[in-house]
Amino acid sequence: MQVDGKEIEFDKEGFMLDPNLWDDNVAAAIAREEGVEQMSDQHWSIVNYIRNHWKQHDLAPSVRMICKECGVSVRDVYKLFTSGPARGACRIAGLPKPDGCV
Amino acid sequence: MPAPDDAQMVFAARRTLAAAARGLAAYHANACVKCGLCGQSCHVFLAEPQPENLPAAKAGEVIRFYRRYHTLLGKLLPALVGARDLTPQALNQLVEAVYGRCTGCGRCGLHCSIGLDVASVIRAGRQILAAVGKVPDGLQRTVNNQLETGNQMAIPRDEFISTAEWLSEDLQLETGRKDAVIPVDQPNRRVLYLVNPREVKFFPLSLSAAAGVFTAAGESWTLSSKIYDVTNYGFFSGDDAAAGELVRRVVEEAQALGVQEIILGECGHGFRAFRWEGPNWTRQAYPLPVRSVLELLDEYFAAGRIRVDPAKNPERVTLHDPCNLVRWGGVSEPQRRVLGRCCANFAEMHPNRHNNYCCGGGGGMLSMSEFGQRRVASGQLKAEQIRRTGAKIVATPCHNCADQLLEINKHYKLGVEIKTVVELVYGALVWP
Amino acid sequence: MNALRIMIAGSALWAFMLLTFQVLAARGGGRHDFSRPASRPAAGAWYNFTTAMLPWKKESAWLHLAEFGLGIVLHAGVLLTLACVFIMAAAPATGATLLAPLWPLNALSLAAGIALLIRRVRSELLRAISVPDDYLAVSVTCGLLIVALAFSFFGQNPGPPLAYTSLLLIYLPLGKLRHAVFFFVARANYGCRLGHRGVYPPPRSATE
Repeated sequence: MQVDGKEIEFDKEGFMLDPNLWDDNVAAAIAREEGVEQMSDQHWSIVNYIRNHWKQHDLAPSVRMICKECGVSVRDVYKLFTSGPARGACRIAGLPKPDGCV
Repeated sequence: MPAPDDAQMVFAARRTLAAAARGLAAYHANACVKCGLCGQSCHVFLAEPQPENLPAAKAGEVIRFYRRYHTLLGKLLPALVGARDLTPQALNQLVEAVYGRCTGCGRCGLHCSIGLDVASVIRAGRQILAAVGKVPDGLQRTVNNQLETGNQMAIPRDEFISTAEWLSEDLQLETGRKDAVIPVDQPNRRVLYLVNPREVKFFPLSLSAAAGVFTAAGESWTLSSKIYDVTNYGFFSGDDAAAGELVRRVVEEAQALGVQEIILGECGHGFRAFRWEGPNWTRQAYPLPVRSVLELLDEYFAAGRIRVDPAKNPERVTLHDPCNLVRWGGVSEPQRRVLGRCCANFAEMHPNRHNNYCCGGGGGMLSMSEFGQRRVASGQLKAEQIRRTGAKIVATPCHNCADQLLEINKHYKLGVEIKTVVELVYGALVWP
Repeated sequence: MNALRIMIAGSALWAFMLLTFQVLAARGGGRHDFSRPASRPAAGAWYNFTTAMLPWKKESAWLHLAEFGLGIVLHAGVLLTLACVFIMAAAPATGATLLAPLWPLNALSLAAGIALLIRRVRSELLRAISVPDDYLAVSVTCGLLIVALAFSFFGQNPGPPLAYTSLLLIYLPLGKLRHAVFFFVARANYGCRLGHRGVYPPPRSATE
């Protein structure tokens, strides 16, 4: 994928190979693949929270933390990110694929 | 002259192979006639019809080692029977065949002209690779998470407890009942309930739903904050020692809490691992019964402990049968009886039950990114099966299948919703 | 004649002992299943040998009727011929009377064997998974049918079928032909496990 002249590479699941190349434009480009044409403020607040949590703890936050920090309900999260918090929101936030059954 | 590490690796591989050669895999390794008729029964082959994807070819990669060391002709004339030396290079080549091309769904075995348990032969290959540390990274990390943190997603214990409290608050609001809670670490309850950590971390609605249904049924139950993971990635990786250890911990926790029964949440391989394989890994019968939550739900209905109104689930619902629960586990009817009561419009997909196609996400495939493209491609059959039913909701009693179905839904643009069975029951509940 | 009878008895004993050893070695002293049964293993095994093998239940047959048919014809000729040869070793006159009129089946059976061999050579898929032993096994089986046909047409000399069969019995436990025994072992083992778990027999109400 080309974003602003940068070549962004993904693993076979569509998660970024080099999370350092992530920026807002890359996020918006992945979001369009996810069917989110225009990232809303709510989208951004969730994505940025996941991103920051991951930078600090090297772990994706749980959906409880997302709901608490961003003031949304679980059902809102699924509506905003139809592939769910892991394959949807974490992917847009440029995280590597979380381990396990996701 | 191989390097000393290589020699050790080959030694470990041969020892594991020898154990498999004494086990049931050998029955089946001796029986394949390479008729080549198994391809049409395999979702991976049908999506990508190459010789390497024939079930017989995948099992053949394991059988050739068996022949080399455990059959007369393989020892004397290896070229005649296609026998192959176990070398580090040969082991590397085995990885894709047994982890990347097979989900262990077992469908080919039921349709085999001989009656060969192909999947068990392929799993023997996984056992060999697990013994020499050649399990794909994503899968091994998940096993390590389970062994080190007690759950496959390395969720901290505080986080688990906070999530249970948070879900309880929401559930009380939603149901208007004070007793609708998710009990954690309560001693002497009747049931210890195990869940998929995916529910705790990313998809908690099924856990709340289960709590809601248990409340309605007046069940005495608890979760354990230490041991709540129903999955068993040692089963997928082929590491029987790890798999057995995970089983042992659950049984110990159940005894420590003083429960009378372990109820397994909706998880295909977890059911198979705990219900059927576990006692054979630990070589000990369980001191208490282990059942699927589907069997418990079925029992609630039979005993009149919960009431539902199918009109609350008016959309057409179809059911995906997880291979490890149905084809390997024998639980096919409880979920049908339950959905029959809770859904106004239920339609089977075809083929179904023990004959169903794998969704493509089994065998630990979801945690091995390197095979992601093949995984999605091999889900095409499932996508077509679902589309033909005209259903709006696909119910599946397995979180692993649910993840793959979510991806299939997106990739093949099915426009369906994926739900677990207990979510549909909860949605239809009529509170007493 | 007596030498041939001793030879065939000797190779039959060899085949029996080797196959028994292989089955027992695989069994590893017997394994107890520690899980609580959901149903009866024997019922699963019975189902696996009966209903599960019906052509319309088994995709390897249903989706490949031509190959399935060829396989059945080949096996019918070979197994009946072998039975006649064994009878011939014990009672030469009776065996000869039985084997001689078997030629129409054996001719068909040979044709099926050759067709399957050609299929194995020509199909890219099968070539990719085949090893020399896979070609050898069909070839020696066709050889038996040729010897049997020669017996029917040229003087009914019991020597060649007896000699050929005893060679075949020496090869039987070594190569692919040992599926003659492991077919039963594998299917019974699988069926028992599926029975124990309540997968087989499937519920009566089930429609697939």
